[in-house]
Amino acid sequence: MIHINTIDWVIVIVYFILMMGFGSYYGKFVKTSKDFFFGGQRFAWWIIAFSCVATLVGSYSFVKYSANAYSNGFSSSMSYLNDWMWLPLLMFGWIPIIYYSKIKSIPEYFEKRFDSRTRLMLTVFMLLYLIGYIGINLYTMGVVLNPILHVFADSDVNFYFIVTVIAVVSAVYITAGGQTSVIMTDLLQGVLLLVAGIAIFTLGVAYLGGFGEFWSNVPAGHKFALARYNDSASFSFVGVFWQDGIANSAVFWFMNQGIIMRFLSVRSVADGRKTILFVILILCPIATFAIDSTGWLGTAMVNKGVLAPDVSSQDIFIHVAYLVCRPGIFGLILAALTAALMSTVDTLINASAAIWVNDVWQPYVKPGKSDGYYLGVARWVSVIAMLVGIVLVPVYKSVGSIYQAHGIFTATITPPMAVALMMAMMWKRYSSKAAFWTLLGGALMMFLGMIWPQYLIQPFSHGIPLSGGMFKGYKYIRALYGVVCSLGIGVIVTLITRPKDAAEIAGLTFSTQSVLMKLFKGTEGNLKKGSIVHLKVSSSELVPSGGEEEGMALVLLSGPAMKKLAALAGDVVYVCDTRWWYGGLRSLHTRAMAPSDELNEDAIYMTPRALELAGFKEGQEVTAEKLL
Amino acid sequence: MKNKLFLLIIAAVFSTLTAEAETDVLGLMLNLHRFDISCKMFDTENGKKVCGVRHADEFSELMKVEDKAAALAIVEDLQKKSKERLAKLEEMKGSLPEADADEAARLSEVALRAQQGDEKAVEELFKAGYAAIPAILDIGNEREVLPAPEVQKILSEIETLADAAIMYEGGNGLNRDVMQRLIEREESYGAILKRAVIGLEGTRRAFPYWLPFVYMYGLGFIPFFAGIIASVIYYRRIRLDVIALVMGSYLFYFCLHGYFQFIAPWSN
Repeated sequence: MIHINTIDWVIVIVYFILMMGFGSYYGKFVKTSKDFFFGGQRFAWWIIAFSCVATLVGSYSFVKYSANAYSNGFSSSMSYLNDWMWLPLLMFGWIPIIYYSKIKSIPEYFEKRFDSRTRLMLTVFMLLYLIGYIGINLYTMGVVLNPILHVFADSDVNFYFIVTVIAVVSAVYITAGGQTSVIMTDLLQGVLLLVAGIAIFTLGVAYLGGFGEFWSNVPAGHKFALARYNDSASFSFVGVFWQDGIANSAVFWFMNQGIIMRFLSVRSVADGRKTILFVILILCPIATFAIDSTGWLGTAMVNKGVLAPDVSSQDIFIHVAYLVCRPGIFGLILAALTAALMSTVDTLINASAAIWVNDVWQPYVKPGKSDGYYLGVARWVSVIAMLVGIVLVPVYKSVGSIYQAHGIFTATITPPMAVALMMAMMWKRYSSKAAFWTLLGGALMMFLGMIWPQYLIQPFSHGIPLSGGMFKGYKYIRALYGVVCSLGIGVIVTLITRPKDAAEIAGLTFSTQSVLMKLFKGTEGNLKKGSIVHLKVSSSELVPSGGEEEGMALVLLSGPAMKKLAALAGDVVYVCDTRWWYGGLRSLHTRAMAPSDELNEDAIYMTPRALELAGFKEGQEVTAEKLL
Repeated sequence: MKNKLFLLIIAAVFSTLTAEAETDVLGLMLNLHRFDISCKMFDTENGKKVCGVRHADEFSELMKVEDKAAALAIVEDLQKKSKERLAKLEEMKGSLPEADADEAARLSEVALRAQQGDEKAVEELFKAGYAAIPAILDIGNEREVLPAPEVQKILSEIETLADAAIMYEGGNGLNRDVMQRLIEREESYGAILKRAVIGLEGTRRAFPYWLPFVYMYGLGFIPFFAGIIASVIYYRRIRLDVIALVMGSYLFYFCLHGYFQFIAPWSN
């Protein structure tokens, strides 16, 4: 029986209050819909990197991956350590495309690249997925915390109380601060997740009597990095490779609206590249270790005889954490579990609001309204998305088939979406009709494969045994079947249909940096290398207003300052507070006007509105950097 | 003549290999049986029960034995003997006296002391003979810990004696409770054998441990290479710093996975 100490309760409650207050504080930085959805596109790479990890680690991650690690050893890390395959493609293919083409959502990219029909279908797919997933995260969190946190004696009342409190805390700060709050709270939550996971491992190793004891009590068969080739229906190498490594990773990094919004929140393409490089090379291995190591500890503890061998793998995380953590530390672990949930749910809510406003409300319901109007709609949609998520929880709890239906739906659409995006990016000949039929036909083939796995998926099974019947058979390797079917449909339809005009899709496929920069800037990009210059901001009536709300205010600089920046009139200059720890929170993108030699050499002039949007004070020291 | 000699050498080598395979299988099966106390059950996703971590490992080792036909024949033979033994245990159980409750309670305390490292208790437990079996098994069943290595050793020795006693239908000191526990263990052993037969009869093959590594770093290089092409298109030239950066990332993961795939499992 797990008993929560008073100090643990205090830590959990203080954590909730802290998160709500901290997240809501950033509401003051949200003045436009661009701020709400993309945090003003001004953040430094390291802030976005930590927030990406917080999103990557979901509410179920600690429990699910600890259980997997307990049963399968180090190979459980496969699920998070195969994203390296996509690293160069993200850095040099996808991030420049989405950043420079100024898209706001993945469905919008599909409209630009193909047509409105494909955009609409993808919008429906993504909204169903996102809203359903908010409910799933809340539900799984309730399942995990309900046996531990006893506020009410009645188990059901307790369950809904936990879910509602967490949902309300998240909704309050997201509604106030949108993406800025999401990024800043996720930075804290990401650090907390990693620290908590590493703390459990450190304490567990000490509990066992040192690292040598831990290592010798992990069976040799559990020390392999990769799972056995095809032995198990539930966790085999080839299945995980195709499902997690290829289909899921591609959709997560290239199409997950929450992740796309993070990439669009960085101040430049170079920072976007640094983000993904740091996440995949540094944070992913650390996060994997933090999440999985409790399961490895559990194995060592069972083998040493200090933990009951009949502990269910699903309970191993809580049992090990409870065993090795003193009161207070356990409270921190519980806070980390809720952090894992909140940091995923806040991203999902913000992403749902972005898709609803940008892909439904703005183009179809109320086009041509002011930015303030859409900002208001975005706030309301955030509240509604959370309410729908809460309403879905009792539905998932009482009707298991609906919960499963969401899982089946996700599995159905993932491979076609991954294939459609890859072909859209890499193959100019890939036509609009082909994209539409890749999505629809691929999903249909996936659905049929799940009904008759023994006939349709079996040829792709690599010898993995068929376990479970309809909708359950070949749970992992079916991704390969989906990829092959979608690819086949895409290629065949492309070859018999007409592609879109090359001029219409300029910058939406693999492109040169000059084409992409021109798309973003409107004129040729300036690639001449300049210096970062320290200046003082000043408001001036000499600078005409306009462009501030679109995140491209005009600025006036002296000739020498422009020379140091290697900037020309019309170039994009990023102006930022000199205090690095703000991580770009107080900054803005500007467009340089023609220089004037009569101005103070050490000053940068902008409109009062631009000063307000950036959070600068008159006379404040800033850095200026020419981006392109 | 030369051909005949060659065939004889081949036959000798083959028979040696087969004998080694048999020894491995027997050793593993013995381990599975002896340690089935640790084979506590936990739910899997399809609702079936499987053995715990240690058992699963041993079972997987068994699956890797090269000569599947020989292994299958041995396991089927063991299965047949297990069934016969189970029938005999059931038959004998009815004729045995009930266990002495006071003595059983005393032995539970002794077993607990033995578990905590008391050497006198270990000796006392061994002297108690068959009657100590339920007390030792209760350490695992009720106290939720694995018996200490010394206690497991006693259990193993007592069980060997019990095997002999049952074979000759003798064994003073056997009672109904002890027999019930032996029946349960035999049933558990039978379940393990059944799994072994299913596994060995299946079409699955044990692939070498390096295959997943080659598969991942071979096929995984396709999207990786597409990214390198994207960089060449983007910059309109091959930039060595970019190539060095991305290949460095590839090597980082290559070495990380390589260490845990080829070195870590063999280190202690």
